[in-house]
Amino acid sequence: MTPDVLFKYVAVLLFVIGLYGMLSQPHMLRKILAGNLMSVGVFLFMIATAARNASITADPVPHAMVITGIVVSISVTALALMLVERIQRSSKRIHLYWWFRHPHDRDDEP
Amino acid sequence: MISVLIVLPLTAAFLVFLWPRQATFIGLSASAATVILTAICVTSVYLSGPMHTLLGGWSPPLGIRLAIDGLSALMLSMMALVGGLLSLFAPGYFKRSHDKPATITLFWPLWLLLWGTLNGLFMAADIFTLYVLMEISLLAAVALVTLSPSQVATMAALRYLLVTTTGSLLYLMGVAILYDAYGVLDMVLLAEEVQSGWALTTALLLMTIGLMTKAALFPLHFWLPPAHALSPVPVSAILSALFVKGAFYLLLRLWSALGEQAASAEFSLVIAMLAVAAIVWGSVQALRQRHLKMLIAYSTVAQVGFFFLAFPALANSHHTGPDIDPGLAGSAIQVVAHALAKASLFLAAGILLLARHSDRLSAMRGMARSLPVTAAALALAGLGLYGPPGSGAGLGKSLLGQALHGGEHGWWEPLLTFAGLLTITYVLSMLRYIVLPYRGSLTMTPVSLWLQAIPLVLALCGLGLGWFEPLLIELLQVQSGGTE
Repeated sequence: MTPDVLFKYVAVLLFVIGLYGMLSQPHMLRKILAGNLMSVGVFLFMIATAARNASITADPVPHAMVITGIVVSISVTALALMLVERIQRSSKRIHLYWWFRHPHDRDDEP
Repeated sequence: MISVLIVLPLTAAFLVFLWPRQATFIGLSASAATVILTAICVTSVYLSGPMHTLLGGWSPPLGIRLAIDGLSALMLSMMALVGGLLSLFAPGYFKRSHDKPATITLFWPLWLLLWGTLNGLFMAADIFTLYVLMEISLLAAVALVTLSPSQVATMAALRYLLVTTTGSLLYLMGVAILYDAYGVLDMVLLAEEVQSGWALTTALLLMTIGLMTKAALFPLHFWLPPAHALSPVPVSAILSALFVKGAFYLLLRLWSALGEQAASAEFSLVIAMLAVAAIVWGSVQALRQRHLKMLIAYSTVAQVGFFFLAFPALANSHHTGPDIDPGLAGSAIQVVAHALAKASLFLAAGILLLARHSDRLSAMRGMARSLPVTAAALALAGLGLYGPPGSGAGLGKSLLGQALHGGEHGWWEPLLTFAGLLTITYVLSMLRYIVLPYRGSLTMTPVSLWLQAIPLVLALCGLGLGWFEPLLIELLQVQSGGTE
């Protein structure tokens, strides 16, 4: 097994762990970390694809994609953390559930 | 020339940050300029064929190509028409609503950022640039949701961000797998390179699931109603009418470029099932809502189901020749008609909020007398959602039906009729409040006719779209050639 294939397996593993965490962990910070883990998985996979033509030098396009991807990932993380901070300022809530009931949606009609 | 459609709104967004006092002036001028530029580009595509540009003069596979063909031109016109009218509505709305005065200076840069990146999304031709534009527009959209200060809205925004980012990452993994297998990112080049195999199947599956999450197809729709219903009204309209369409457009593009090699009957059947489930579930939930904005948001869930009927239609039609596939055309026209009707509904809900400080359905009682223009807009937009023959949505539906007809799926026709009945049911259950009399004394804040006219204009545009059938079909037939 050449190193780039190993990297790809590890990348897929990281991605799947991240996805699992995103779906199963209700804690908001854990969800954000899981998202980061998923993107690390994708980036590692992309870096490994740079070895496509093993005979010549590394392919630069995946590097460009990873750099752009990191910038996007940082921005998403920053926004998510800011939202968590805003939520925690007004309540002690730390969990976020995917399925929820609209709080205004109770039978509050006159 | 066409890159100005991206650069201009982005520059204006930056200028608003520099001069927040002039926010509305800068925003309105930039909107007007973008609308005019879009009109020029679309006319040019209609008259003299597709346009394209290479950023920085680098050609693919290394460079980034922007291109406008018929489908892109139609989507850009949708952005300009709905976006332009929304820009006129937003300042008046934020001035009268009891949001903080800072809201409008935050609204403009985010909305212009979203407009510019969505324009880019409809023009970009390579799958990685599409990812980047999708993410930037997502960041702008989430920030727009948080303009509503309530904690519930912030929770909805965080859920929205996390769910759609997961979708984006699934899509990005698909991009990585495709690049690994074929070494190109440009969609036209990719369409020439791809061969059926596990790489293509896996990548397309990941990208499709990712984009379904972003387009909110049942059962991945759960984030949409709270995020769309809890944000300020102009933002709800932007998200429901325009933003959801970006991911759907991308999916349509992806499947018409790469689908031939991988599409299977089972896949289109699964999509068809989900689409039908979305229509039924969205309509039933819409019927159960007590708040107008929630009802409209669930109606988006149902309408997204209608869009996704394009995939079985594309798989069903054995269409060859230079003409546009009726399934694709029908779906594109339906997307535009829905954008107009949905924007109109949300803005009308906004006027109800301004007048009655509530968007409960019971607050709509007596509207026919107290707010006749808005009541008319609601009724016409509801009609536009259902799509009677001759209207925009009606034209889209008849083209879709034409594409679905004739294949082995004979059970489509009764199903489409049933779906139409469901739509008309929740529309009527909403509209009945307009004519119900109000008990007790009616307190309401007057709203200027100028603001009330905007949803009416949007609803009329949606209904009138059907008149332009030959023009729309001719525009959609402008197809791009190679990558030169």
